[in-house]
Amino acid sequence: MSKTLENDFEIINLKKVGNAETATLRNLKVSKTLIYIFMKKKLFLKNLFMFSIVTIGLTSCSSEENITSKTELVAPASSKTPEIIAFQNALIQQMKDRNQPENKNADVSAQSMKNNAKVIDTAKELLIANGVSESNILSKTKGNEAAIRSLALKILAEQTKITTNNN
Amino acid sequence: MKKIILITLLSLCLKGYSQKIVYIFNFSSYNVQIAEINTITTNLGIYPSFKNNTGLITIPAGQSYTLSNYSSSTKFPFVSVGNTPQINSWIRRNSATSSITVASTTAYITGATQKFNFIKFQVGTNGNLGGGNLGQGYATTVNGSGWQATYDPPIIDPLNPNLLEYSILLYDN
Repeated sequence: MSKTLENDFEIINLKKVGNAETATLRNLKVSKTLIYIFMKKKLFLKNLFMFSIVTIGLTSCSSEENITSKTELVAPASSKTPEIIAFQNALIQQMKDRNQPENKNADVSAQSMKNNAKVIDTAKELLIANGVSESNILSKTKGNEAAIRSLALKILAEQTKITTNNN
Repeated sequence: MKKIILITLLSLCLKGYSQKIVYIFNFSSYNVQIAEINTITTNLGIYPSFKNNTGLITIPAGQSYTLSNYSSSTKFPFVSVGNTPQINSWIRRNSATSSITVASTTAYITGATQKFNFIKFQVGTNGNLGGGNLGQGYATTVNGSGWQATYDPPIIDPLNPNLLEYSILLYDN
């Protein structure tokens, strides 16, 4: 091989090395960008995770706040009001009918629907008697029967709780 | 994507640990004595479990007893203020042969995955009218001399899906 040819090869090789170095540098830059994006994504996921936790916490707090704010409306009573008695009786009737052998296997019967309607009606009356307006009941419960029942149960428990320490 | 699914699952799991309230309404004409209030792990494992470490809790005719704690939206109300009598300690059963007594505040922390299981109760003077166990995994109705008791499992309120209310009603039959 002639000297010129050898030089040419050297130049070509050097160029190749130079290109390789440039490519490596370029790759490094791309990698850095990717790492940056990845880190950002990781941060995003971390933030998302934190956000989820905070949201769950706040959701719980809001439901607690709902309950406690509703409780403030309840005034302790020394004796049972007609509304308390009516709600209590409706609950008892519902349980009694549910425990009738012929009703046990019937998931939805006319009687159980009737009993449930009675429980909800008396629950509403109890709430109204304790200072919760009908519009307030609707806004706080969205007309949901389980929510109405739950609020009334809370009032019932509050007004019938054990008054003397008997332990 | 994988992580988002994981986060979603985690959120759902956290939602699964719901706030718990236990109501015991004695609408009967007799005094009722609660001997035990028992909890169980949310995954229905047997241990650990807790039971109240008090004497008999007497609920006079027409009155009620509630366990509640609104400071947590997930835990069983081992610490329940505003009730008479208050339960200040619980027995934590770690296995069939091992149990320890813990303060309510400790139970509240270590029993984070507990939920209501059942009550052991008796009716009348020293249980002369009968009694039994009532709750999950036990009878949902117990009959006695002149009374009936029913366990009402929680109804999920869509507005408060975190809230689980366990109700026990005793009434004259």
